[in-house]
Amino acid sequence: MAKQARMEGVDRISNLPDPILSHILSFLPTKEAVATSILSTRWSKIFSQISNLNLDDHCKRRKSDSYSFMNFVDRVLFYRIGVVDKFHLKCGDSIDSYRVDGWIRYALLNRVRELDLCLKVKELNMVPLGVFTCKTLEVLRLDIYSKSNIVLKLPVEICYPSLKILHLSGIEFSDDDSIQRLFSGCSVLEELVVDRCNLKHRCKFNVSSPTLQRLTIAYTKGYYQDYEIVIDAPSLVYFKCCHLPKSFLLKNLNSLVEACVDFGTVFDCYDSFVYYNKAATDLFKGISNVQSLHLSGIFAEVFLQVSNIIPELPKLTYLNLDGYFFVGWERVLPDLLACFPGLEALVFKVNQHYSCDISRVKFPAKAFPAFLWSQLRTFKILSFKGQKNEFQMVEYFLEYAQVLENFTVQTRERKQDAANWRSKITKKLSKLQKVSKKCKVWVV
Amino acid sequence: MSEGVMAVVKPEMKSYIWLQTTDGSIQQVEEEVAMFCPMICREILQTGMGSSKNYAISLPQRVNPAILGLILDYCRFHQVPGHSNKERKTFNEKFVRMDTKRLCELTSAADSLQLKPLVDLTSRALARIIEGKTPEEIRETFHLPDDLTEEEKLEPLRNITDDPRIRLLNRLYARKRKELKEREKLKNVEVEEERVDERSVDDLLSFINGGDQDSKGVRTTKNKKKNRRRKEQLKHSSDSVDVNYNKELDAAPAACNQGNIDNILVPTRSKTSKLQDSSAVIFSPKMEFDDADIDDDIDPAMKEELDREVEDFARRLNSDWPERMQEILSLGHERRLVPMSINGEGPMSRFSSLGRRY
Repeated sequence: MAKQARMEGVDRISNLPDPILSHILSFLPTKEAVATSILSTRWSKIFSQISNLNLDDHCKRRKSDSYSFMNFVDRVLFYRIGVVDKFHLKCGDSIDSYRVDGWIRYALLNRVRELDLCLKVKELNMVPLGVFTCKTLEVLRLDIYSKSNIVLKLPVEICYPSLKILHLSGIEFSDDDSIQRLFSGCSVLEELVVDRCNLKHRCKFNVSSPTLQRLTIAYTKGYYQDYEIVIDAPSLVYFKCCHLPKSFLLKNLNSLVEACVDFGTVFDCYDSFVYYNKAATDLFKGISNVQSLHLSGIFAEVFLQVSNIIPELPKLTYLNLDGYFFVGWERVLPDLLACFPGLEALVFKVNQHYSCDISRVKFPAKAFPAFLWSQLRTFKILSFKGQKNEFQMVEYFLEYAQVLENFTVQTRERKQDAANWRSKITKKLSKLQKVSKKCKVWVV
Repeated sequence: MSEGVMAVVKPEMKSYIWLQTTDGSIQQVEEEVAMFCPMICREILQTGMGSSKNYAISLPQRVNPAILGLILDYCRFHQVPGHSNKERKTFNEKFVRMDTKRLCELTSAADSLQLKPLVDLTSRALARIIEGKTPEEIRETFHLPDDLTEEEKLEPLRNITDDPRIRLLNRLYARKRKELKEREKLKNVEVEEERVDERSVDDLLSFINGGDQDSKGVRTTKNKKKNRRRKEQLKHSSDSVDVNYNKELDAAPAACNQGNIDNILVPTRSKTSKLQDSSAVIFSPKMEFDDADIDDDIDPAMKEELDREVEDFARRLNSDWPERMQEILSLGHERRLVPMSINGEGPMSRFSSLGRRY
């Protein structure tokens, strides 16, 4: 039957022009793409024209597997022709670092546009300095996984005329000077992600770029957080920060539209929870133009004094709150939302700590700012568990939000009896009184 | 759409573009939808065509009416600026759910209209179809002709460069396979026929997977087919040097091998196993060594000699590649296999020089 079908079928795919066939193969892992060379005569040379290289050793640590992988990569590089558009390499310590260095040089020599290195190594001796002076490079992602961060050796002259996207993970910056050299060499940088990087003691992380549009600084480690971050980016549209440093200076963020801030947990040398009020204040002062804000983390007592930390953010229309408050939502939200006079959409994730039954607490409507009820159009609750205090919150909002149009409840993942439980919640929710006639309730 | 529809002029003064496919049929399409295609857009702007039925824009040959309909659906959705990214993604996912035949036609048509986003979308869909399949499965899905010779399938990367060392190794393998095959044939005639078809796939799998395969049973069948192939290859080979080479070897295989074995350093057992695992080597000597599994009762001494000879060859060819290149480039004098890579000597002299050296 199958053979018959094959005889009857027409081979249409081989009629596609060579560039299209190699474009199709460029989406496959290189190993599979090379394997197509034995399909038929038409396909025998296509693999050598693919401009994307996607090499992954799949973390195999056996010597024979590493050997086989290294030989495979050598041959693929040897027999291919044309420029390299994307070079993605993922490998570990079992691969000889001199070979890896050679492969990266090959990519650099062949005018690579996007270089993506994911290395699980102890030392960074396989990244040639040429990576930092490559004229054709537009995207560089350097992702290092190791027990302790590896110092990034940067050449004296860093020149990146085309680099638009830069991601650095798991490295250590040796000093201010190297950071400066790196960023000043990127004249057209649009996106920067610095993740899990180490800054030395009293280091100043200075990002100053007129072209930068997206910036993420996450989980930076420093000596007892004693480092400073300075950002000057007039074109910045998106800013994400996970774990605040001790000192923050944000200048000229006039174009900022969206910000994600994760306060996280910060412990000082005495292992006690520390909160850098000043840094938080500076942060919010710096992002005052933002329209959309995601707040997450452990807010602790600081948020009881929220009015001191967060100034008024007049342009904010969307707020996403995913925090552990240690106190009930009813104690935190009113003051918090008072800082956002333009709020129209609120997304709220239910976390563990506010298990307070407000029926026991006197909770008048005027605790929340008045403007909220006449503006809030969208309200979404995530990770809804169906507990009493959660229903009370929902009830409360439905009772007072006059122009609410979309109310969504996303239930928490539940393994047993999910559909049944969800329909119970839906029933209960639909019975609640809604002051807004247009309000639609969705349970997902 | 028909002329009748055109006659009813819409109050909003929507303008339409006329498109003609190669079969002669003419369609009218809303202007903003048609302009989404760069090729059509250029035609309109540069030549002014498309404004009426008589001056319909001729679409490239690869666009037939049914596919044009699909393309216009795509354009109609995406040219609307209001859709969110999520909506577009959902639409795209549903849009590419079609049989491979149409997907190929759509890719071809989108390419001729230079509609890059649609080309990307369909290419990714085709890549998803190809991913994870064995070569046999891919051929079935796309109705590809199985027109490579078995030899070509085994050595895909060799065809691109005509490396004389590789040719020599090839011949060694051929000879070896042939001999083993002859012995095996005496043993197991019916079984061989049955397994013929599977063999090519398994060969390829073991080559491509680089040793991930474990089934011994698979390997045993390989050798038989390979030997047959080798035989055919030898028959077809018109290279006089080849013939001479083979002749000489055939004439006195035992003598030759004996001589060589004495001179070529016998690798230890451990090395054998090491090389068996490194099947990224061009010719997968692994396949050769599996002969040891099935041919144990057939002149093991002879077989082992051949094994070692071939393995040594392959090992030197492939395992020390970077170091040897450095040697070649820096030292410039001949060591081990170096003479073969530099000079275009005939295989005869190479082989004998090798024999002399070791």
